[in-house]
Amino acid sequence: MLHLFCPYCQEHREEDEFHYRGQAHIVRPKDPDALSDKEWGDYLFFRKNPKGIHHEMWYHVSGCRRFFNVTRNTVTYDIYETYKIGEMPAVTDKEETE
Amino acid sequence: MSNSATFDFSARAKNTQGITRRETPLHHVTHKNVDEAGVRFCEASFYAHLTLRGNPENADFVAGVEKVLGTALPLTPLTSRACERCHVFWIGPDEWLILAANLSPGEIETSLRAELTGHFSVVDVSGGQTLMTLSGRAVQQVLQKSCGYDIEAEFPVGKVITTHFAKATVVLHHQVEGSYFMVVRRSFADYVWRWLVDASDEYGLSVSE
Ligand SMILES: [Zn+2]
Repeated sequence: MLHLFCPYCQEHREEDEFHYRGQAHIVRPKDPDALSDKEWGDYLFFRKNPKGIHHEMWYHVSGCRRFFNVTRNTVTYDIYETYKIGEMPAVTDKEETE
Repeated sequence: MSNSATFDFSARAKNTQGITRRETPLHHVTHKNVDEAGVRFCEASFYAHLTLRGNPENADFVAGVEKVLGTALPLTPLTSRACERCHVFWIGPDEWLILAANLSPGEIETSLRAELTGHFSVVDVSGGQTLMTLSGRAVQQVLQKSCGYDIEAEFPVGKVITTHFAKATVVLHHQVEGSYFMVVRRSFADYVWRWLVDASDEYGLSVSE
């Protein structure tokens, strides 16, 4: 069971109050018409699957019902930080863990 | 009502002969009260429930709401405010739940719309949820075994949380010492009630108006 700190509720809650909602910081292209099919396909369908540090969105569905970001290690399940939508991660350069 | 009488919720269907029949979500259940009950339950029927959304950094919005409700908006996460007119719960950073016993939801909505300008939202959700109140010497034990949240250590008087109660999403508020408000979706009310009957069995459950 993960214990997540909701940056809006300002306290830790148990995992069952949250939903995982995929990779964070995906920017919608400003001018989709200018993209090639490959670029549009990459934007729409392709996601990172890193071993180690990952920035991802979580949804406090059974709490304040807000999305926020989490920096999590996909190997150890360590959570390094949680931060509000619109903010950038402070933790980006942790070594990948075996 | 004596403690050992059967509590019949059917009185909670109002205007049964009229065109608009009003029923609380628990109007269909009955309960045999026990003496010396450790848990006391009440369905606080026909409260006004309104969801208010707006920008807490907009001073006009905050001041307008305070003028209408008679109490300031709770801007700190997980806090609440109350006055004679209503209770106001923090639900999210731009969302509040207003509960009022003696005002109609239409009255509150109309006054808010008359006072507020710009980007805001007020929705009457009275028919979609119900307010349950829980008290008694064993109420904390029942909440502890029903919630993953640390009721004992993290839930002082005045606090309001949205969390899971027996897998149902509820808004839980510690109203006064040992007495709790629980706001439950209409479709979950019967399930939560049956859970409470079972969870309170070892302490005894009594229901009142
Ligand atoms: Zn939250």
